[in-house]
Amino acid sequence: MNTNKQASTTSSSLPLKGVGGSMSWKGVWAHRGQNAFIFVEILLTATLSFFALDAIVVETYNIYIARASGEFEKEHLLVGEVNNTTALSGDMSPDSIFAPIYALRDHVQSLPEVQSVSLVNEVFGGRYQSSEWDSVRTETDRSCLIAYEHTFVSGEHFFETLGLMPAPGSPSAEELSEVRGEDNVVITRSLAQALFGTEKVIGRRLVWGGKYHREEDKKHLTVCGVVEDVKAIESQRYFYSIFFPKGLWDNSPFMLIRLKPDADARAFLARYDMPNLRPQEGAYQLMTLETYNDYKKNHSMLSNAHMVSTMFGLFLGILLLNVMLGTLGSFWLQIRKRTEDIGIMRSFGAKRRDIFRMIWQEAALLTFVACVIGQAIWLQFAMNDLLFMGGKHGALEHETDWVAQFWPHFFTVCGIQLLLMLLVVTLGITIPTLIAMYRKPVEALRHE
Amino acid sequence: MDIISFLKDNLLPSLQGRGWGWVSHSCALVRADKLFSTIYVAGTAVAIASAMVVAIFVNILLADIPPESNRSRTLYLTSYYRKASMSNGEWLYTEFSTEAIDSCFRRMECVEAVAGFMSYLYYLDYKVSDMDGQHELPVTFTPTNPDFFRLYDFTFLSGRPFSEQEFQNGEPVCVITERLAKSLGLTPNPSPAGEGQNQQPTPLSHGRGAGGEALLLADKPFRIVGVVKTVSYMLMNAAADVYIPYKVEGIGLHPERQTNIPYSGNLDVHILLRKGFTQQDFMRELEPWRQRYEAVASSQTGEETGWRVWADSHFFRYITFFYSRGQEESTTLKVMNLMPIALLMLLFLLLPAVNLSGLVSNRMEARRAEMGIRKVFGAKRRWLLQEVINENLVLTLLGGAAGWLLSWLFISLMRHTREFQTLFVSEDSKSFELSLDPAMFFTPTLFLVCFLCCAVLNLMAALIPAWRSLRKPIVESLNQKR
Repeated sequence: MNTNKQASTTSSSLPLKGVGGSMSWKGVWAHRGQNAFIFVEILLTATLSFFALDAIVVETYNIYIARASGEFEKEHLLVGEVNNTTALSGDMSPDSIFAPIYALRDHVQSLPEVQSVSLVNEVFGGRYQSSEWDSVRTETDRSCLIAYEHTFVSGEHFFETLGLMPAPGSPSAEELSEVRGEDNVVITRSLAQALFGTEKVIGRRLVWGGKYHREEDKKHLTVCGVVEDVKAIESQRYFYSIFFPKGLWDNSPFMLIRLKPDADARAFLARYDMPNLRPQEGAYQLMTLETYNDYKKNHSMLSNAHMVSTMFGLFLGILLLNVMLGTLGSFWLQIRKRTEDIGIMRSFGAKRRDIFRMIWQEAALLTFVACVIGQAIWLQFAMNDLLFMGGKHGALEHETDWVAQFWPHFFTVCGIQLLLMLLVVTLGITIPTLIAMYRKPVEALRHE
Repeated sequence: MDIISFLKDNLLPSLQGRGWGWVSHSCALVRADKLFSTIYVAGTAVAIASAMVVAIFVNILLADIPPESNRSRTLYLTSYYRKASMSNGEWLYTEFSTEAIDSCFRRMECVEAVAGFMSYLYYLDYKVSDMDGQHELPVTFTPTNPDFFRLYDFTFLSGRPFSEQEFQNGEPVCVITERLAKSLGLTPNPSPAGEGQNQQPTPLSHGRGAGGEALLLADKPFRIVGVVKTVSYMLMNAAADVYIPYKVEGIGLHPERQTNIPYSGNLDVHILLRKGFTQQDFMRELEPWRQRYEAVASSQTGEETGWRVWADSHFFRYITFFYSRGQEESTTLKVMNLMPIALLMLLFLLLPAVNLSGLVSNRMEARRAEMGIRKVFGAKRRWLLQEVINENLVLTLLGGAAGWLLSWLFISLMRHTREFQTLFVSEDSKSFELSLDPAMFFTPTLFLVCFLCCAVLNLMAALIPAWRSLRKPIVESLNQKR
């Protein structure tokens, strides 16, 4: 019994001896006439698709993986647009125009489900978000970072309503919302760390602008507070943001409404989101009312990052589909020619998985070599600044994450590309290999 | 018709070679090896579809598609002005005033029509309703002048464009699209044949009493004078839901800018050139007008005033790889700007060609003995090569047809996505409809492009493997196992 088992094992392992690396080389070399074409195709695809894949990898990382530590709670946050329902008349001084808007804010604040309300000129991360960026540096260091500019209306409970949390050692959210003056700003924790090496930076001075714009636009600012990192642009990788206190710009501001944690946002909307039910004071009404997430979805345009990923994704998809069809066709015809060989191997005890492994190893070897050569070709371009960095972010020469570092960045994309190619090629060989595997040895031997 | 004559006179005789036997032979080969044929046709279809998506996209951007039927004669103007006292003498961007249109562009000999309008993108948040205040709908509208309807060839389902008199008087009249009319529950009354502009319009009707020929736009009643066929927002310049005279008052339109620069206003200007005139002719004719304006404006304001106008043809408004505004347009520059697109299409064909070459190579291996026998009986290598390429062409054409349909299917499905919409409309709105027109897909030019793609792909895929196989010695070919 034991002897039989041993014999069987020996018999079934015989073909396995030939399935190693050298046999794969021999298999690839024996069919070099046919393999050359698929080899060239994989090589060209690896070279030409590198930049597209690089862009997709970086943008995907930026959008889905790079998370800000202080991301605020959005389920209980609502956005309304304030506007006048009837023509204004009488006293047109700013105080008279804004008075009913403030009354409307107080009206909303008095609703039982509402925790806090803030009037804002632009919705953080929304369609009217100016999202301007500029250079920022300390007064002593000349090297600049790039940061995004946001605004809030002083005295309007902005930070507590939005849910931005102060960093340790910084004034409370309520105090930050009261910051006034053109030269005072609140910055994010990452920016404080990058500029000063610490987050305890209250009272420190920084210089905004001047590197990319005109010299006269340069401003000297004082840091009045630090908040946890937050992401305003979906593709933001470094959370360098500055919040500038402003007054109300005009009589059509937005209203951020933070509901109490136990309030149901949908129920609140169902109660108030009808033209004749929305809160109104004088000539002003909340013209629209949506959850923050709905507002962003309905009103923000597709970002460049999204469009870049989509376009490059399509390009990459077409190339990979070609590789798959190429592998499918090439290996199908090859395997058809090798049906007899497979029959012989099967009759000598080779298992189905041995057949699959043999063919897959040949395909994988071909893919690996072609891919590595293709990547080596692209390396020449990558070394000439053709690695995708994903727009204006931070100061790349100072950053230490994998995207900003050449070799980690290059090898990460190489690895992903290799895995992707192997996956595509595996898909391509699967059907012909399965057919070959499941053909009976007798039929295979008769095949002509 | 031209393409058919071309094929008949030039291409078919060369394909025929020594008769049409290769066609039936090709069909027999397709039937004999269905697996090979299927994979080959699928590979070709993907390649052609990729290339044709690019071609169709370019066609939508550049071809004369109604109502933008005059794209090849249209110029898009951009203007900059400079005053010594303003912004340190920098050139500042501005649009045009009505005075610029009436006193300058309309008087030029090479100009057939001058459409001044305010882009609908500025008016995204307006709503219309019927006169009962019901059926409130968000719309886009274009305030414009009557020349807009000369530049853009709208199909009037009923009624007419607003007249010069209505425009000059600032009458609240409008032309709406069929889609909006239907949304408002109105039915266009077909225009009688030969209806002129002066005939009283009866463009719409509905069964709910008075007010069927009017609507409320920004709470102001507008009389509907015409209903046009809905324009796809892929035709960015002509598309809108409502067209009104920009001289209408009371709804917040400001065609003029409150400056002391007479030609500076808030109007975009598109010029329709007379037939036979080019962008260079326009710029040459404009130059004395420009100089005269600068002199008059400088003397009136007491300081040096500069005015620059740049005119881009439709092609260079959208294809600008190697073109910067103000550069002199030429055919060479056009070809240069088309090169990146052609290269992208070639790339989409090249990779599948390598893949298809592999397939052809495999098949040629299988047919080596057959080729050997035919060579023994006197067939020349050139004949055999031509035959293999012709046979392959049958498969490629099958794949090409499938690819063209695939590309149409792809665009039809993709047009509903926000990504696709973003390529044509730079603002977000749920009311944009990217409807498709047969003229966007099925044109002689696209047919020719598709055929050329097939021919190039076929040559790239079949030539090298067939040549390699046919070069092998006859004895070796005959000794081959199968």
